Amino acid sequence: MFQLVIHGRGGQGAKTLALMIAETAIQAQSFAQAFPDFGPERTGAPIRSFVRIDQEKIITHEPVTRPDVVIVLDQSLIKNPEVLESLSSSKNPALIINSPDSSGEILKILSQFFDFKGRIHVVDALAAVAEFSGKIHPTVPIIGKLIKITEIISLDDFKKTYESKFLEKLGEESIKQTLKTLEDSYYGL
Amino acid sequence: MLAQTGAQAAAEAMRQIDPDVVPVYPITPQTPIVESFSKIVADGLVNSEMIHVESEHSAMSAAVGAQAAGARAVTASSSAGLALMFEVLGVASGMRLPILMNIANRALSSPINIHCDHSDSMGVRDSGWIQIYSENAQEVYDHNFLALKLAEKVSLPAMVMQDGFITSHSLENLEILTDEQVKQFIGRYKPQYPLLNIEKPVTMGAIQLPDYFFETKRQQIQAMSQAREQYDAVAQELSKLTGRSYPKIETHNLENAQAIIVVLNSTAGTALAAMRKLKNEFREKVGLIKIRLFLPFPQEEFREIIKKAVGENLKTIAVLDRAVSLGSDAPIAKEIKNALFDLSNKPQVYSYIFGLGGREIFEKDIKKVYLDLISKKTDHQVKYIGLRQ
Repeated sequence: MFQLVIHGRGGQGAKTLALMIAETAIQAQSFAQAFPDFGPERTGAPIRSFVRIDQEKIITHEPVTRPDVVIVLDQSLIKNPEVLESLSSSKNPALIINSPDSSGEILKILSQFFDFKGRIHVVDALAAVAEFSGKIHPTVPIIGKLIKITEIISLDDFKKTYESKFLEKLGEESIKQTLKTLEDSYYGL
Repeated sequence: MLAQTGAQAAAEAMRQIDPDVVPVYPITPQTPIVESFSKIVADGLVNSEMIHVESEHSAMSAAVGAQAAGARAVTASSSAGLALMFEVLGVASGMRLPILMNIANRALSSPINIHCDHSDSMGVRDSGWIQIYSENAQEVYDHNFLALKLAEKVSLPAMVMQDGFITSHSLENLEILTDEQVKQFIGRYKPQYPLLNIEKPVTMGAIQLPDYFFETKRQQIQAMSQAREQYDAVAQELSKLTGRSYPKIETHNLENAQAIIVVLNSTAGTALAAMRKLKNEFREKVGLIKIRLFLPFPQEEFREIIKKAVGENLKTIAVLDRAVSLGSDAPIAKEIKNALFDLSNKPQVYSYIFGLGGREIFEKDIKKVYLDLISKKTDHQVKYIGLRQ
């Protein structure tokens, strides 16, 4: 079973991202769960969302404690106790972090707390979407990277989910740019 | 296959039921149920009259009025909302109105808390409502039809529970029936004495003094027994459509079990996952019981299941309650002790309390209960899972 924890701040799209990943998996005939950190919504406060994907029916309802991948949408959360807890689970999860810094610099910060053994994938999401002046959501390059390193869902399937969810809201032009950004991130361009 | 939350699954079932009247008042974590259903109404997908009332007391009162008039009424609530309905819950069951209600379980104040436990639905367990508990979104969806049909058969209201947030806000796989299948399964609602039938005028909810009140209550007691008797037939009919089964009491691995856990709602899934991960030597010795139909409580079936298991190996039962009955045993533990009282060869029954106010429950907690039972590291003191001591 694939398990993912997304750390972000309220309003950054951690919940929507989790829902879209699970929905894509379910459309592709897998079993999946997505659930947010429960509670009152507070913009800017640290929040988590969780995803499970499996080829068999998922019966557990415990929070994800041993993730395969940890996504951090906001670098300022790197020292957050919940982020450190996710990263220090015995599974040595891969870390995808939105940051302008190098993976070496991220590792240096983590080393102050524990010996992180997983792989670090840095995505400078804000830079990647900067030229589109707010029309592309910064989570887009992050999801491209997640799909690339895990192939847990297919890029094409995710594109379909994204399009069906946001075409009406964003319009064709923005969707086209978004999907291109997603591909660029996936192919590492 | 759809991807829906437990709340959306309830709303989807309500869409297919297409109730005549849906009086609602939103409350966390039930809100996404009525939110999703509002959209369905706004999109013109149902003929339902949605009434936005000013409180839950009014929501249930409007449901009572509508159902008495001869309409099918469905509503939803949680926690303080259900508590505010308390007076009218008894009116609904006493007037024998088969209203359907979805509950997203949430703790009761005080302290104020929006997270899951079962104090709300357990707190209204003497109100004369049928209670069916659901492990996941799929069961929420299926149980809506099961509860509605059973309720209408015996003229009693029914509530379908799902864990607040844990189920209501989690996206999962959902298989749905066609609208036509649902229509055929639930059929048209044929009220026995609709107020709007001017050919046969009746008075409903009238005062009954000591000369008749007792007899009316006796009829309600009998209706609950009928619900217990008729449940299996309705469940089997639904099972034919869905391919899934809905036993009142679901058992796993009881054949050789020395120790079993009894639990309901989403934790039943977590417990089963935990059980399957135990090392072989332990796994062979433990089992799990999930209670689906809590009210009317299937005492005889429970007794028979346990009698058979005791005849083989069963020594201990741990009952996991997500609610307390302050000053007494926890609700499910009490039912189970009651059900087993007449057995000559009884297993030990231990009571565990967990998850109050949304305290998380992990597979490791369940494993520990099993290991304690097997290694006899337990006693008759009530145990608290995940509590800071």
